[in-house]
This record gives sequence, structure tokens and C-alpha cells, in this order.
Amino acid sequence: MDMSKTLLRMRGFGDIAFHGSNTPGSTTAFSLGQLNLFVTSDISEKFKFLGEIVFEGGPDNIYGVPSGETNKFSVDLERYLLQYSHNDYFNVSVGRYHTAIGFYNTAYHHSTWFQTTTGRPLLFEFEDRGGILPIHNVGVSATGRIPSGSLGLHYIAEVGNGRSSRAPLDQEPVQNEIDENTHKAFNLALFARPIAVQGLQVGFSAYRDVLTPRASPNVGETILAAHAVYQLPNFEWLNEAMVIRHAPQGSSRVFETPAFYTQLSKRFGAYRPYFRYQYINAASSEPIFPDVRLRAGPSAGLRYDASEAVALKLQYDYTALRQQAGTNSLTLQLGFTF
Amino acid sequence: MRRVAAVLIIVTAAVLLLEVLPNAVFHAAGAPPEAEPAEQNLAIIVNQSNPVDNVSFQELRTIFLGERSHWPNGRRITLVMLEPGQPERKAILRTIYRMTESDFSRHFLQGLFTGEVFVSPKTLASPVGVRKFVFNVPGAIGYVRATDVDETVKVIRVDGHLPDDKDYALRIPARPAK
Repeated sequence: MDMSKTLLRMRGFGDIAFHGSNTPGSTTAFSLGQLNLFVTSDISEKFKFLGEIVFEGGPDNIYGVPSGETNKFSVDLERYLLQYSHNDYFNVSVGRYHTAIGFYNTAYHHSTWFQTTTGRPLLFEFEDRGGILPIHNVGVSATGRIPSGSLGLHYIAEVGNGRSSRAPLDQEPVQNEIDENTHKAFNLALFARPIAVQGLQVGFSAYRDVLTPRASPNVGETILAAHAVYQLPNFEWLNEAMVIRHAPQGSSRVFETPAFYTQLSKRFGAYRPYFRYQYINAASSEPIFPDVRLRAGPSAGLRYDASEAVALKLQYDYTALRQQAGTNSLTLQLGFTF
Repeated sequence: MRRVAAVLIIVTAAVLLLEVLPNAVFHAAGAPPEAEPAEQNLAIIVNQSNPVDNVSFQELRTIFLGERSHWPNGRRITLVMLEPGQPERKAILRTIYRMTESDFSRHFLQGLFTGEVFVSPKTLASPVGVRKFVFNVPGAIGYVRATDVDETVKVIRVDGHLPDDKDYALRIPARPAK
């Protein structure tokens, strides 16, 4: 190793928003979004390090200070990966990664600047923001191409700790060091990028884990996801659907939560209008996320790329809720990379 | 839900008709025809030790996009680009990437961010620099005008064609006469 060379490269991402809604108890406010320091290092021809160090505020106004809870870092290490690239057919990463459930979670990480919209779909919301999916995982991930000619097949196989059972919500859900049970979470994803249609990707994934909620029996978790996305620099159309299945052990009852979103946008010079419709419908007696229930509705917005590195977005969201009045919200966000 | 499904079906039909199908037909036909009044050919060059002699245009595209990271002999692919503004680079962005300069930057930044792209392209100032880099790095691939090629590097065929062939896909406006 040449010690005179600087191996570390860093890129930053951040956002600042002004947000208001008619949700009971909420107030109109400015907010600092995630400040993300994305770090990579080419360790050797085959090995590479990749990390995302994220400073993040919360409803308690504390910014980048530990809550002191189990499994929580003072500053979130959202990704922390040592990657080994053997060839196009076998690459393996060890550490903390974004679980390859569907498309969005591996295409977009902790940067709003990359995303067309001001935030992630509800379905892919981060765990510490009330998200329902195991967005992050600590373990091993193998990826690669599958010899398939013009079909362009790829695989992703993962095994990790999985997430904790989401109760209570103030605990760090991504299990590092301490796993609430010895069962590991498995995920297998397959997707195709056909050469004939540039920008098209279709695929599916299957995720399996066992959750151990406090004071109740274990719950088997199965997540089946499918996606079809079409993305070019000037146009995107993202579609994802999934079913999250929870089966409490010792009970014949199974809870299935269907969810989907569709997102469409087209670029006109520096402007990019977009539209998204999303839907999650969880039973009120759902054992893992009883607070989610029904959330559905459209979002519409406009992204303006003021420069190559700065984007201004204005977005309106309407969310219908079960047995409650729907909420309206408006967000003005400045996302940037530096 | 029925209304949502109906809207989705209508949107699907519209997108297929307006965006996906024209693009699929376009790409099935290969590289876009670029009729320029006075043109030269752009040669794709690799290290002399590289066993690859021919790639399809689509394979070349996946290599340049960073979607392929290794040669068949196991060497890691190192892509070398000329600096922004150079006519050779503009030709590559137009014909292979079909992207603007900012789309290109964003593509590689996002690829590195997702971990799909293992190494970002190396950028050099001149065709001579590209040639020297390809000569020295066994896994390197780059491009220069066919007239700038010498015996230190190897020119690979694209879809079976060499730069002097009639149906060669990569062309660039000729240098203005001095």
C-alpha cells in the first residue's frame, strides 16, 4: 500500500426545508434535513470501503447527539461496508447496508438531492421515522450478474440480523451487536435490465425474518416485493408493490399489509414536475405496526435544478387516513451536494 | 381502489406509447445515425495485453456506464475519459451515453453512492495522455480519434467493425483545418 496517497474520498449531501401541514399538533417550521458525509476508499483493486455518516435531527431538536439507547450510535452510521469485487458475477459486502427489498431502497440512500421528490415513499421511510420495512441490515450481501445475454439478469442475496420488532418506536430498530433472537434475516432479490429497453428494470424480492416483540410470541415476517421502473435522465416512472405478512406463532391468524406507490416525472430543462400516488393498508390489529393503519394519497411537486449541485423542490401531499380526517402538507426543500 | 387502478392503467398505456416503445425501437436499431458533414472515426482502445478483440455496441455501453467492472481475464476495468469540453468526449456522451455532461456526472455519482459502480472514470487532458494511460494500465479502456492511435495500444472492434469500416458506429466531427 502506498502510504503517501490519500485513499479517502468524501462527498457531502444535505437539505434544508420549510414545512407546514394541518396535522393536529404540528406547526410550520424550518428544518435541517440529514447532513450526509459519504465516504469511499479504494483499498486495493478488489477491496473498497463505503460509508455514510449521517448527522440527523429529530422531533426533540437534538442534532447528532446520542439518545443513549441500545443499538444507537451518537451519529448514525447509515451504511458501513467493506466491499470485495471478485468479478462481474460475484461481489460481496460485509457491514451495514440498505436491504435489497424492491427498488427504491437500493437506488436511493440518505440524500434527498438524488431523489426527485422531497422525501422517500411512505413505504420506504426509514425505521427511525416510523417506517415499516427493514430498510437497514447488518450482515453480508452478495450481488452480481447472472449470465443471461440480453435479458441482463442480476441477483442479490443477503443474510443479516434483521430489524427489531419495532416496539417501542424510540428504540434503534437496526440491530447491531445485539439481536433480539438468533434467527437471521434472509433476503433474495432478482432483477432484469433488458438491453433492448434502456432504462427499464423489473424484479422481485423475498425477505424472511422472525421478530420477537416484548411480552408476546414471536412473529414470522415475510415480505414479497415486485417492481417495474423505467428511468432515463429526462423521464422516470417508478412502480413498486409489496405485501408484508406477519404470522404470530401459536396463532392461526395472519396479517397481510399490501402497499404500493407509483411515481412519474419528466424533465423540461431545469424543471421537473412530478406526481406520486402511494398506498399502505395495515390492519388496526396488526401486531408489529398497529399505528400505521391506512395511509394513501397523492403527492405533486416541482423540482428546479438551480445548478448541477443544488435543487429546489416544492411538494404538496395529501394523505387519507382510516377513520380520521386526511392531512394536507406543503414542503419547500433545498437539497444539495457538496 | 378501482378508480386508482383505472388511472394506473391509463397512465401505463400513455407511458408505453409515448416513452418506452419509441425508446425501445430506437435502441433495438443500434446507435443513432449521426450525419455530420465531415467526420472522423473514434477508436476504442485497450491495453495490448487485453484479450478482448471485439465488443458489441451494447456491451461497450455497459462498460462505459460502469455496469461491468471486470474484463473476462479478471482484470478490473478502468475507464478513462477526456476532460469536459473535448470533442471526443462530446461524441462519446452523445453516441454511447446519450447523456449531457451533468447527466454523466450524476450517473457516476449515483453509481458510486449505490455501490453499483466500483470505481469512477479517470479523467485526462489529452489524447496522448489517454494513450499513455491505456498503455500503462492493463485493464484500461479509452477512446481517441483513429488518427491518434499508435502501436502502443490496441483498437477493438465494435459490433465487428474497425474504425475504417463503413458501418462503424462511433464518429466525430473532423478537426478544423489549421
